[in-house]
Amino acid sequence: MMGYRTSKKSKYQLPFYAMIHPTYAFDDMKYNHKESMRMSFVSFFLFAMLAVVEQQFTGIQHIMRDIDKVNIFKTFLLYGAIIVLFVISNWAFCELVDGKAKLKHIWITTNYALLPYSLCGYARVILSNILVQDEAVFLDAITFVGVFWSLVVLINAYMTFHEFEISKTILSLAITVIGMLLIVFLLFLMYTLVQQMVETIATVINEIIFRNRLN
Amino acid sequence: MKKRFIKTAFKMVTVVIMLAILCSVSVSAAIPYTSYTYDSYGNAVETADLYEPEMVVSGSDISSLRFRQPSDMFVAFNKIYILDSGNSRIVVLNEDFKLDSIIEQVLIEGTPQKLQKSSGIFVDGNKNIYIADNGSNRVLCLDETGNVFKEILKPESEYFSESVEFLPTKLVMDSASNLYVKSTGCYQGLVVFDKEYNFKGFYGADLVQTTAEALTDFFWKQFMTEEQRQQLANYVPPEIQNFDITSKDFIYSVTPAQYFPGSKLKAEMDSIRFLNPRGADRLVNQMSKDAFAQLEYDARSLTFVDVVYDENGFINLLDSQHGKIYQFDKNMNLITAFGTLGDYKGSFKVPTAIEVIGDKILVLDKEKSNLTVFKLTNTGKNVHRALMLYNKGKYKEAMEPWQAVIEENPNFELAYIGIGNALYNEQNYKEAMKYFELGRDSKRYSEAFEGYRSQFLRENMVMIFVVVILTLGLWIVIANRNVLFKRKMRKEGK
Repeated sequence: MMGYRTSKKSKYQLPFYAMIHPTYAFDDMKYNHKESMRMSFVSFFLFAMLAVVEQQFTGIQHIMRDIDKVNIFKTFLLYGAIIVLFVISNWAFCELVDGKAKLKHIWITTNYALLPYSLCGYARVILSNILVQDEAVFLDAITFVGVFWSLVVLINAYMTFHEFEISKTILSLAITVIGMLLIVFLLFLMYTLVQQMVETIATVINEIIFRNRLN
Repeated sequence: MKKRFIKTAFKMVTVVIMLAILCSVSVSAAIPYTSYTYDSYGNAVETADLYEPEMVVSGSDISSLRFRQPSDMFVAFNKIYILDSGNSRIVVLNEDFKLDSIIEQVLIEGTPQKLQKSSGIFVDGNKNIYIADNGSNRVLCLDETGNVFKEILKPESEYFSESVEFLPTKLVMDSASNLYVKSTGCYQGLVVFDKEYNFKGFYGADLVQTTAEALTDFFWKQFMTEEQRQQLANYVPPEIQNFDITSKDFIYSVTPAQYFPGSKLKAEMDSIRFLNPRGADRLVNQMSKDAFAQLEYDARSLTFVDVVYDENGFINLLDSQHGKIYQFDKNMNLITAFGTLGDYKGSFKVPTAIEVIGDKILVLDKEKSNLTVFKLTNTGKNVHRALMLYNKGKYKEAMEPWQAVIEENPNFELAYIGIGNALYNEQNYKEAMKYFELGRDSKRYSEAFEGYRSQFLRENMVMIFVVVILTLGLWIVIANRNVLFKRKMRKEGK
């Protein structure tokens, strides 16, 4: 399959090319092995950082933040965790229904697909410092464009890599979201169970120590 | 020798420090509560005290008898009329809280009459006194000396159901001599009597709130028989608890939070209203909601028992649950909340009535049988002066007291907004933005920013044009550099 529709873009240019020609770019990436882990992490960082930047630098006329409650690390980790969770959930589900993509591919393409949203987000933050409250509708429009654009790229990426048709891709996306909730629930359950176990063991150890002291 | 000196010096310093600590403790103990307000995020923020307890009047210091369960008071002609219902008398104090006169007895055609659970008093422009005598189901109208010239009994009207008793608890009179009486159990609103004390109608009933429960009940009622329907709980509007009338015949009313049958949840906290003479709520609903959203944490357990409107534009609400006084300004911004339950001077057990005389707040306590007088502190004076000017639109004049407020009390958001507004009116947008940010008013900030932006654009128009044209030109040159370059090459080639 080598040489299938080469786009002449290097693997570092490909994520940006994928914004404009998603189908072509992802085909190129798949068949010419142009995936770049480095670029996927750049995109991932841009996305998680966007939440922080939005919190810190959006014009005060749009959000009046409570400085006591701002926690940059928490925001960063939260948004990062959402993406990790999404990728794992999608991989877990699509593996069941014969999706062809590997976990690595899902991770890379998902992050590539976030790029339009992130770039729109940064543009939005810059604009929010110039526009006043009455003009906030433009900011909402930018967000909408970003989300829609990212979604189109994401669907294209999954169609290429999982080799699904479009309806199946959209359905898999919906189920992925449900899967995310399920994973969170299981994690929480495990957390409480482990906590109880640790507590039991700690109590037993304490008991032994106290008894030894008494004797 | 030297060592000894150091030791004594050390001891002296310790003593001084101890004394200082003791003094500071005794100073802070004078006020038994901490005042606070809510910032725009809904966090309670401690502020400097705007009011401090000045004195406590218990009756024995001014007359032979102590107050016994005083239930209401009214301020008129700069005098305080206290309904001392336990002693069946009315005590009148002057503005220095010294005895002015006492109406020892209420006389009906010469025979003294005992007051029974009377709980409301009002004094009109002719110094006639009106008492809501709950226990005897009537309103007594007395003249200055205590002679009853009119008893208002239960009105005979088809609108007034026979099964409902007339239980007057609170009353006011407007400038046209209409008497508004609150009768317990009368959910249609306040009972209104005209000049000749004839029943005129009802006024200002609250609305039944639409809840999911009320809607489902309404749905099932459509399929029920008459008997079944009667067994269901009726949805009636909550009763007004207490009210006060302004000089322009508007009525501020408080309604305790409603309980719905079957549910333990308190309803929305829409319990202060500003009624016009027709009985419609003039306090824009959103404003009232905002006011109570400010009290997010308090509002769940509030029981407002009295409200008083200060002609300077302040609204004081008295809450009996925690013994707190909430002061709002005309625009329903919470200025301060203070007061507590307890035994100290300045705290209450069962606060029942609140009044304002001059800039002092009076609170009557039924259980402790005394009257507590609160006076403004320095900070309070500044806040009031600033707010009075500010609410009149005199932003510039208000700036100086606002500055003083900020110095004493940097948590006061309204002060920053006040200064911001003054700066905004002077078109000093940049500074105004700074103050609106400190006051956390994003809407006003946005407006100031808009002003600043257009100012900036106007001043730098030429520069912006130059930059834009230069960038465009540069871009065109770079985009066509091949063409330009080649042409040159061709020329050289020739």
